[in-house]
Amino acid sequence: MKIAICDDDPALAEHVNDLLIQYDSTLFETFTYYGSKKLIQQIDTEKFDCYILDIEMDTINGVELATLIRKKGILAPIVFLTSYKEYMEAVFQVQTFDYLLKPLDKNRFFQVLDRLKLYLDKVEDTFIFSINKNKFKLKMSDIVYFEKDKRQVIIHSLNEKYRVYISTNQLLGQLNNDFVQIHASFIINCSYIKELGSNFLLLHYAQESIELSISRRFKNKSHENIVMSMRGKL
Amino acid sequence: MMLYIILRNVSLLAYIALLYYFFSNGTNQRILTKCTSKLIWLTMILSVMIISLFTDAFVDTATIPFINLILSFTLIFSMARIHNVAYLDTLIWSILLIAATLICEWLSLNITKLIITNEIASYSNPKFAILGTSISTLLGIVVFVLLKSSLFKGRIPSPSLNISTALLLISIPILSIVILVGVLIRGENISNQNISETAITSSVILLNICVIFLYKITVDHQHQLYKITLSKNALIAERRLLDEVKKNRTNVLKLKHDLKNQYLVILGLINNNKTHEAKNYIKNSLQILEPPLSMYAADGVLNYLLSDKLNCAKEKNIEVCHQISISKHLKIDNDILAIVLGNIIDNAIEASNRLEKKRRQINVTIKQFQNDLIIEVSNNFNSEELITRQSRKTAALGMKNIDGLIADVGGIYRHWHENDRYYVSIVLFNVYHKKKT
Repeated sequence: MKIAICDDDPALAEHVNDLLIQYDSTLFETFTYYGSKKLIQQIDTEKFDCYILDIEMDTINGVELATLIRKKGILAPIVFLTSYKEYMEAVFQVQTFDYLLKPLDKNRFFQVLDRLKLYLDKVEDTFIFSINKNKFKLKMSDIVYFEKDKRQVIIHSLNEKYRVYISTNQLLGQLNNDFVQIHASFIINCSYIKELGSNFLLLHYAQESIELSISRRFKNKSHENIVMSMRGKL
Repeated sequence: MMLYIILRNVSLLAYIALLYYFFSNGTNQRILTKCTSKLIWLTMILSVMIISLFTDAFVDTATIPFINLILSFTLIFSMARIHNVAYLDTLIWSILLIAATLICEWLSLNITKLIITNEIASYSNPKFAILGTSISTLLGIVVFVLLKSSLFKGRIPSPSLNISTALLLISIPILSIVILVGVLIRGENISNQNISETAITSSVILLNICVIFLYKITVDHQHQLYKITLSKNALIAERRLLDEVKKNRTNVLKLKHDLKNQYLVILGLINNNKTHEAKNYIKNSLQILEPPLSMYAADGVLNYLLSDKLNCAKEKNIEVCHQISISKHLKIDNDILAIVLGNIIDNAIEASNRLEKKRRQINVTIKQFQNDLIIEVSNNFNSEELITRQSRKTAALGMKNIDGLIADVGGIYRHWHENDRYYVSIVLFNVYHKKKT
């Protein structure tokens, strides 16, 4: 897992690095930067899995740097470090993964790393299926929903649709808890929920929205599973 | 013949006495002069006796129950008016008391039939008539006393009912009267039996229609109650903001005053070349500028509410772990968020407060993940309360409010427990209104 640490205070940057090694010496490949400029130059080439940025840096601060990362279309999780106890509106603009106060609390930092690991594992989760004896691999995070059509299942991904012969039980057995069954015919990825009604939900992807019915049979259970799935992001 | 006239008069006079007892203390106001009141009393007693004599002498026995019904209604209405009961309430009480009287009549008829088994079970039998009248009068006394003591405790209330509610309230007693009259006049006479059956059947149908209307009114009232509760909570939140503004204003004035004095002290130290002391003094003074309130949200009400709740928890020796940051660019109304958070944190504090000090712990996490907002409040609790406080599951209006509010804004609200820890989780979708850059 490639992590970029950016803090103009070398002591703190090293401390973050040490904590990452303490957490798991084999898991992370860390890249330490003492200023924003060098990191900006290497963003495209290094393709980091996660960024740990100090908010209070000279010239380009952490939030500005994060805005730049997002403008490049990079959705990797960003964790901010800050000395200010006060809430900062700016961090909401850049889809922050978390927000840590200096001096760093080891336990709190490790909790964030636990969630980060889970999140990145999920992002890497793949769904494997066969069509005419050809194996296909899809990132689960790219699958928006599954639609049952008689004996076939239509996989609606961000870019394409696939038709596969697979039973609902086999399908559910392969999926992680981001996926929730809302109807006998639909299994959805909670990450794409845009709106929830009393008996429908709206999924938003690729600049369009699709409305799917929630059946009475699955309503309570699906609501429960959606909450549990979202809790995984806390 | 004479016996029946005496019996009817006695029971009617007893009825007047009961009505007087029932409506007395209804009001301290006197709308009638003593003279008018006496005149009404006299007219009532005489009318009762004359009508009783007249009906016994000239009216067919099948018609007497209906005349009795009209007479009872007139008596109740007059008595209520003498005691200055409002017209609408008078109408309701007239119907209710007639229904109660008819129930007593029906009960006494059946009790008398049970007692007198070997003789003719009819009012033409003198023994049956005396016993039946005595039992119905006694039952009447019991019912009137119970009604008065249990409902009013010495004073008849004057509820401000609207006409539609009043009509709906009296509909069931009216239909009960129709049914009971139908039952009471039912005899061997075929035409009476047909009337009775028609009355009972139509009343049962109408009763069910009334229940549907009652259901609708109840739902409307519940909806109104729900809205009132929400408004009340919003007002409380507004009031808190005002208090906070007042407090801040006082703090600003105090700071101004203190700053002026501090500058004078610093000036004095610099004038005396005591720069080191001046530096130390400035360092110490900087502590005053530490914000007294934690910042969780941009919205004043929400931020104050969260600070207030979490401080309240700390004051009660509850360990509070929190991770809260709420954007000001939320589409969701901050008042709603304040009500929801206020309710669930209050519940967590209350449950923790019932534990021994070392176990009191609350965790509050409010996180925005991409465009969704996830709220989770968890606390330790006494698992025995799942049994001892089971009634609260259905009685907790606050929780129902939260559920309704969250559903209204298209979110999900769930609560559950794992061992000795209670969790409340709320998910709100697509609430972040991203600022256009």
